[in-house]
Amino acid sequence: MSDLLGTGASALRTFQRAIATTSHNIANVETEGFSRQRLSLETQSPARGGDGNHRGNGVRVAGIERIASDFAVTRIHDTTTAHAREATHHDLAIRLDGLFADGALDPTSRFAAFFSSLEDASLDPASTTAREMVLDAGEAVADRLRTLQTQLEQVGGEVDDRRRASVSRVNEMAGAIADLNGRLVETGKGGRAQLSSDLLDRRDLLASRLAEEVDIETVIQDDGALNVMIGDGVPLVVGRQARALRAVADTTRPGRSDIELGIGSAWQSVGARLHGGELGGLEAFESSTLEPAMQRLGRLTHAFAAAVNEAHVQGVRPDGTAGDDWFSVGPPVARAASANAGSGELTASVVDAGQLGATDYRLRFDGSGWRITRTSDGDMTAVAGLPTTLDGLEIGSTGTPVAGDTFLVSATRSSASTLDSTLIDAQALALAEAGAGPGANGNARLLAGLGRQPLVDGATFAGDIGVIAGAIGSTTATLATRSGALESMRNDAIDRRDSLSGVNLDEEAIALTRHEQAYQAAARIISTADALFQTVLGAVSR
Amino acid sequence: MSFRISTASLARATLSDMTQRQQAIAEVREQIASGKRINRPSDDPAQAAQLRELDTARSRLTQYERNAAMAQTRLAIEESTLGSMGDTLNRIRELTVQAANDSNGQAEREAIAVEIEGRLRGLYELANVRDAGGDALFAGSRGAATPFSQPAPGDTLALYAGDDVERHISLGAERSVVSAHTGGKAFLRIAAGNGDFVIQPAATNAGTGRVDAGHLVDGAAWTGSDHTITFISPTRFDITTAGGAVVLAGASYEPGAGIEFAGVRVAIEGEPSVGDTFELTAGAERDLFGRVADLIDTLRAPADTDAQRAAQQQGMQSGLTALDGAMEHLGALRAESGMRLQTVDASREESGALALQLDTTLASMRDADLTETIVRLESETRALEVLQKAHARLSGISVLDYL
Repeated sequence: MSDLLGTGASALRTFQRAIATTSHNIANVETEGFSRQRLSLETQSPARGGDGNHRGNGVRVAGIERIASDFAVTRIHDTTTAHAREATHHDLAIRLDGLFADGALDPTSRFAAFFSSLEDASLDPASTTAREMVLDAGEAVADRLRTLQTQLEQVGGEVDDRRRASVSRVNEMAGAIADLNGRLVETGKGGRAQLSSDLLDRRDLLASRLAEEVDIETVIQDDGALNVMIGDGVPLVVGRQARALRAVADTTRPGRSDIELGIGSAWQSVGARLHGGELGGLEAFESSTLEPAMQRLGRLTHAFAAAVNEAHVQGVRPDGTAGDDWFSVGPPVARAASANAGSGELTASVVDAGQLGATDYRLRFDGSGWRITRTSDGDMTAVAGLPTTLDGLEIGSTGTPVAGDTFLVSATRSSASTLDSTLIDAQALALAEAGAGPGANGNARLLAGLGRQPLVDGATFAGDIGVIAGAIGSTTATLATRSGALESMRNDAIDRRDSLSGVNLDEEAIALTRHEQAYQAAARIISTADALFQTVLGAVSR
Repeated sequence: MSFRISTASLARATLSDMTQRQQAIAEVREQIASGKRINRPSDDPAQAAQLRELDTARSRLTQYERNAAMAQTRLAIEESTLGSMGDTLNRIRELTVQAANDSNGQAEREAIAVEIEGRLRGLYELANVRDAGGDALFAGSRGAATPFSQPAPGDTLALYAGDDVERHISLGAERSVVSAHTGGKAFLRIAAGNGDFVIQPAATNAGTGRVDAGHLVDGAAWTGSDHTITFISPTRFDITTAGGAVVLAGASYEPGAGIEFAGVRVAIEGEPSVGDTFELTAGAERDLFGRVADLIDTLRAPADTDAQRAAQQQGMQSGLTALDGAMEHLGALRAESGMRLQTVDASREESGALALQLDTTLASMRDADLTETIVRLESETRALEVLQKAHARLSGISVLDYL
């Protein structure tokens, strides 16, 4: 009898557990990253009866299976990282794309209006109205370029903000993973099979959230702890230890930051080693989309100002005196890296605006000579000493640099924000050719013709804007397609994982019914055992 | 192995499909609202770049059209002004011919002189014509001031406040037209006499000799240097160059007969006295107003003695030659203006055709095909509706409904 009760009780217990597990699955149907759980049942150890037969003793729970696949999870990490990178890049590229959308901040129309106003002035050079319209149109060009640059820098600022936020999230999640590692190892003492399913799910979810921020690689230690490496092999989480990242302002390029990893009490630059996720996407946007746009715009600014000035000073004003410079552009800036040990400082000036490259120049002193690297294409030139002239820039040095000191010379990066039209008086416009009277239009025609000439790296001013807009449009379109495809791949990976680990309500509902029935049947065992006992009691009572 | 679908997967798939459809609808709506196929560079990078180029080319054409219109206006004013000046000169000629009639007395000549004076003032006014912007046409690059004014009493040269700088107007990238002749070229530097030289009696001549305008007969022999015919007696004359070289000595004089020397031929009439000279000046210039002023002086000169009468006749004859020279010059200027107008016309026609072509191309590239777009909107909307229906049905099915 007691073994009957025992068997019944074991069944009741077991099916109660089964219902609990199914309920747990149903409750978590919407929990992200949840892996469904299933009881694995086995028979109780059989008892050996006096007659030599092995009698069954019922059922017991062998363990709770976590239906999950590490491979499927890793696939999610990989696709998440790839998609996040392209999506972030695309997100930001769209912003730039919008700047050049029809009639927005496109400088092309202002350039056209400027040269058109000069043509109109060439029809009636003595007219004060026509002259004032020229000055207004010139100011409008400067204004538009400044505004466009401001917008670009604003997007750059947002990139930096997002970078810092992402670093902060990475640190948070790394800490949480390390924490979970600790709890998992503690509660799961006795081997990997004993690790808490829910905590494992949570850890996997954190890892895939982390994959949205940066490319990761995960390795499971024997004790069940998850080690996480980011970028190309930078260890972030090792067992219960999590390292921290930080974003540090780049003193040579205001508005940009580098990412450093804390190792003990020292910090190491790792920014260049991170390729995926939000951080990878931000870096890709910054270096391959935003920076080239700003540099080209700056070079265009220099070329425009120089060409107009050169033509303007050749002409004469109505009073017969020669024209002055019309547009002014800020001078190149040279900045020293904050880590520099020496007292060296660099100076730079533009000697030929037509030769300027759309790039910054990184200079490194190696003790005796200098290495000059273009940031746009990595092209390197070695010179024995300064001053030297390169790409229309003259670079000189003062003070005493120490070997290893680096500097950044920037002539074009933000020059669009420094463009200014300095003429205010309509009579200061030199529209006549040299030696002619106030009604001559020779110089006005010369100035008007500048719009048709290939003065910026083989393109006209409007043409160069077209190149900038074209590169952005092309990149944006490509990224849209790519990120769409990668999103599909990511959804696929999630679907694969879900197909294995996801909860299906219909399935659970049926299981619930099954367990209920089994429980009811098991209860009948108890009542049957009781009935038998009552019968026996009844038989022996007096 | 059968593919298991979790509850979450199903919802996610439907959601993602719906989002995609909604995005597509939003894009189509934007095209309809703006009327443009390409609203930002990424919509179609290659075409966007082409559109820019075409836009730039189109706006240039518009500018050149404005330029051409201005050039046309100025050239038209010039042509008409030159025409009026020619008419005035013609009238002055008629009056001169009338005055040359011997039957006129001093009073009649004075009346004619007064009318010619009025005509001369008219010539100055015409020469000072301004365009719609107030710019004097014939002033070179100094169109603010009045270009031409009468000389001070006693001076003979008209005063010119302009310069010789021509104003060009661009009609295209490589094409331009000069919009008006400069004042000097138009009215000041006109070749005097017959165009090659002018021959005049000296003011101190005592006889009644008169010389005609003369002309070149042998261009190869013409030296282009000044000569003097000196009468050593009433019947004989010498011809010397400015340097003193003797070209002809002691030639015999026959009234009306042609005298040929150094490739030119002149004819002298009347009775010159001893010592009378006739100066031949090569390459001289005389401004248009001066010619008329000279005529007025001639008409007002005393004509009491024979010599004076001869001199007056000579003056009117030379004056007529001068007027003819001036009218021929104006005619040449008008022809040049006419040609320039033709250039502007041709340029405008060409630009007009090109502009039309560009506009058509731009429209086909830039504008959204409204019909096609609306059709697309409908199909996307319908697809979305179908998805929504499917989702409604699927989410309504659950085994729990039946348990």
